Amino acid sequence: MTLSINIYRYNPEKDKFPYMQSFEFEKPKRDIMVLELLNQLKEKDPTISYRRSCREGVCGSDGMNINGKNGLACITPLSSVIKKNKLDLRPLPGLPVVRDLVVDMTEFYAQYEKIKPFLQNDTPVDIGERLQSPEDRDKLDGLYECILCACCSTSCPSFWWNPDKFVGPAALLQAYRFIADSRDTKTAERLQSLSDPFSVYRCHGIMNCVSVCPKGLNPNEAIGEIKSMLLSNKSNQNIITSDKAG
Amino acid sequence: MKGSSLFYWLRLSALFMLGYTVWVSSFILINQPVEYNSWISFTNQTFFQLSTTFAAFFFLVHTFIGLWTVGTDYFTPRTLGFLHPTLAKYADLIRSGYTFLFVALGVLIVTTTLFIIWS
Repeated sequence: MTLSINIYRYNPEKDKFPYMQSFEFEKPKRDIMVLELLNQLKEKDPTISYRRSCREGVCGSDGMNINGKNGLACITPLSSVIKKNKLDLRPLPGLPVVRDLVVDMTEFYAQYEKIKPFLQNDTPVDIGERLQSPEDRDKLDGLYECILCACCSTSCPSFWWNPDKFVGPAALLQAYRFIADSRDTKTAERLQSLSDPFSVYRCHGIMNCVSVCPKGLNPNEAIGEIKSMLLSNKSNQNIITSDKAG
Repeated sequence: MKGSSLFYWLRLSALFMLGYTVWVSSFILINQPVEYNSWISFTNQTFFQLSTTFAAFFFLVHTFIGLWTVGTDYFTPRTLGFLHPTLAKYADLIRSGYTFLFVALGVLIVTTTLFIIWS
């Protein structure tokens, strides 16, 4: 049986407009991942461009739109996405295309940088490291595992329209990862930086981010927690510090 | 302007308008068939006039926040630029015109409502 694989092609140095190129591919006897399919097609046509690295869902390089849904090519079985023997592969939506399936992620990383994704604590360290109780550590589960593949942010219409103002689900998940961290003392500043009408509040909870996350994370829940903290006036440094201390 | 303020106003106005709609609809449903005299006595109550004034105000607030959000999503250089590069150049002007139109329409609706209710 032959599969029809349609791949988004665009080389800005040669093409005036993007186009879809069709490939015929013999259906493999065993199930393979979409990345392996791409690797085999690349042997036939070396000009096909896409990012990949670890091929096991850890590096987040090969995020792409697979038959209309964002995902990681390396951990998406062909059998789970193929429809009527057809497969469409497009770049992540909403970001400028560098070439074929490779997108320019500058805006995505700019939002990530904006939320200051590192631990901030001005107090002196007592015994060489900042300790955390097992209960406080548990609060970070479901937050720290993000691999920044951008599948969630690029499936979000609010991020498509305002990628320079709306922080996006991936970066907001990381923002909450540090807000929820008992060792971080800059919660008030972090919340203050998200209090404008765009950074968080452009999320309308449509949950595309949850639907596509290849790691099974829930950015929508984290965004809800940030909104709750903003709405309950927890931007007061003293309240938050005492909450964390308690 | 804070995002949480907009969040609160949007929901407060929605809740008030929901309550107002249920209240007026209940009157109409309970008093079937609604006759002229009963309707006039209902609408001449100060409580009705005050609540309608608040409903009109909240209508203005609710629609302003909603349509402003729509405008800042869809009438930006980026979004209009998807349609045509020339539109992107005039995006701010288009958005200002759009904002002026819906604010003017909202003020007209509210002014008319208040005139009818209080005259």
